[in-house]
Amino acid sequence: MKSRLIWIVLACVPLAAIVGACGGGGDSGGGGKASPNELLAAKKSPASLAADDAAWKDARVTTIKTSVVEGSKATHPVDVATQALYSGTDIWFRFEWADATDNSATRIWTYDGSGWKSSGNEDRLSLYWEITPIDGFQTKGCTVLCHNPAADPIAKWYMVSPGKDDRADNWHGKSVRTNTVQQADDKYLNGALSDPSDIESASKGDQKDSGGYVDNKTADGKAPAKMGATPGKPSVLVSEAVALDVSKLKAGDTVPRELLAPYVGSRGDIEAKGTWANGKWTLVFHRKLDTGHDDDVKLVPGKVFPFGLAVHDAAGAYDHTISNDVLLLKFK
Amino acid sequence: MKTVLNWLDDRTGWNRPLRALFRYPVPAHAHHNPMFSFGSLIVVLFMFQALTGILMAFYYEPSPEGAYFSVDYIQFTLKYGWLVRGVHHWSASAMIVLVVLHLLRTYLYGAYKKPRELTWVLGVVLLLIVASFGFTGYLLPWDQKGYWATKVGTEIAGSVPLVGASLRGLMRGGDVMGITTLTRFYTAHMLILPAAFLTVVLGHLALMRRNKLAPALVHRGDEPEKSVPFYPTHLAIEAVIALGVVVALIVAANLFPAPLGLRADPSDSSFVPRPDWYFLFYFQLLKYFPGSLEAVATVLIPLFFFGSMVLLPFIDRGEERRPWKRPIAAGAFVFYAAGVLALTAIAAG
Repeated sequence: MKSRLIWIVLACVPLAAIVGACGGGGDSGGGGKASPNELLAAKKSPASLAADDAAWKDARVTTIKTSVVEGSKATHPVDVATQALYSGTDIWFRFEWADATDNSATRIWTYDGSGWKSSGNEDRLSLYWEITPIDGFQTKGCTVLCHNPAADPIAKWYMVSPGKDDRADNWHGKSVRTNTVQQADDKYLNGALSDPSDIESASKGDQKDSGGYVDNKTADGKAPAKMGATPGKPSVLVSEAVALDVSKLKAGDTVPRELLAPYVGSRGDIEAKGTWANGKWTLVFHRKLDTGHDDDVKLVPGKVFPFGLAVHDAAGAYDHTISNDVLLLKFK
Repeated sequence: MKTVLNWLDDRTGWNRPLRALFRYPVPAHAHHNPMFSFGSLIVVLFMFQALTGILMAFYYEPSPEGAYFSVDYIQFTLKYGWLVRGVHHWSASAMIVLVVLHLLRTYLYGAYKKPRELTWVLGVVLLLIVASFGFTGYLLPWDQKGYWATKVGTEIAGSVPLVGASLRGLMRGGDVMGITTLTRFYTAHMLILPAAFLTVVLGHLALMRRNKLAPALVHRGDEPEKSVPFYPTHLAIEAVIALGVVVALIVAANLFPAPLGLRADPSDSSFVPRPDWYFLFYFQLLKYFPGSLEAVATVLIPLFFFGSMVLLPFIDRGEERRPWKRPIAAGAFVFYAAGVLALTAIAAG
């Protein structure tokens, strides 16, 4: 009996090897070759949001290529080196992309000695996920989500499809408005336009109890209402803002346009930390796999998740580039 | 307990046929050779397939709109759903392996020869049934892989001269794949194929009992070969092996979860379909017969392969069973095995 069992065990080893080599384990867990559009999350937890955390050495780098869509004002495509890590409860993403300029002064107020001018924009990176199934998203990604041909009627943009409750999750890292409070803006898209004439109104913020950025302006919109203790900073926390006192300013001084406070609630589900140095951005996102909120995608290890990525470079004519094809997040 | 059993036996007479079923002699060479466990393991795996299949059927929704999400629910939300589906997935692969090994053992041992020709033929039918289980089950999650592989598979059936269009229509339930295709595949997978499997296995076992296992290839001495009773001696070993298989399936389901790709998108013609691993060799073979030559791979080669398997015991009628004395049979084995392995390796590579 003993020899019989040994024979069977010995026979099973090469058989298992054959099945495994042929992909018997399938897409998720069976090994095999990864396509260029696959982001493979490794099971390891970084100790912090630092982009140089040692844990990232164990995560495979997938270079996501973005392109300039027709009609866009973006000047050049951007390649984003992307990594992912996960634990039993959390997931982290790390992005790194070249950007010659650090644009972290969105609509900042500049004082000319007598009046104010608002200018500038911020660099951004955003991810899109399905919350509910969206026709075509898993094979065409961002293209189907927002970028139907510009000549198409509005009904074909931003998933505007009456009678359907398609929803996409949007993780939006903004160099000023959210990065300052170490968060990404957790939003969603659906077909219900809050302003029927504005396709951008398909984008909505997740539920929040408090926090977020508010427009720092007077009632007539011609000047800031508040200022920070130190002139020149691109942003200031609501808790640190004081009433505008022009006597403390000279011509050329700047005052932030955004007054910030960390989001509390579903909109603040994503921790983020972005750093610009030496001509490149590094950005780390961190979120619970399952936030428990119905305005968020629930990520489950073992499952394949299609997603899209867009990069906004605020230098020059402000616009963004998008991932060429659908991207797939897989778990190692 | 004994009183209850006696009472039941008194009224049903179940004891005698049950004893007859379990108390038959197993030749010593089969008792000691692990390759003679393949058959019983196939039955054990089928039982697992049936059990896990029934459990999944409680949650599965056989419609293009609901199939993917119900499988997704089983795999990622339902408590232990991943285990049930994983065991189903891996036992399906194991079944293919074991049916092939069972046939190979029979082939190499010349056990298909008189008077066991029909036992062999039923074994070949069993291979087709198990492969059909795989083909029909592949579509049920309604994911990209299953959808497009089935589309290609039914196209191949459609390329058969004369009857192709009817065959494809029968499989799909129309010209295009949709709810009727899924319903038909589900019906075949859940009802027709299990019924066919059980019928063939029962016939196979009945013939095996009637004609007994083939004697040892080499028998030394004049004394008749020793045997052990199936119950309890041989069954105990089979039970231990079956237990090992169960453990292996659970480990496999845990280490390598059953795959579920992206949901099927019939408009995505860019998807490159690939069959499950046991059809890879055929998938590769088809590539060598493009265009007008397609019928060679879709009709002639399968017809020749399965035809020669069915006819084998009626062609090879010599009494010699030792493989080293049957160079043509051994050579054919090496040729086919090398061919299948090479094609599989190329397709997987």
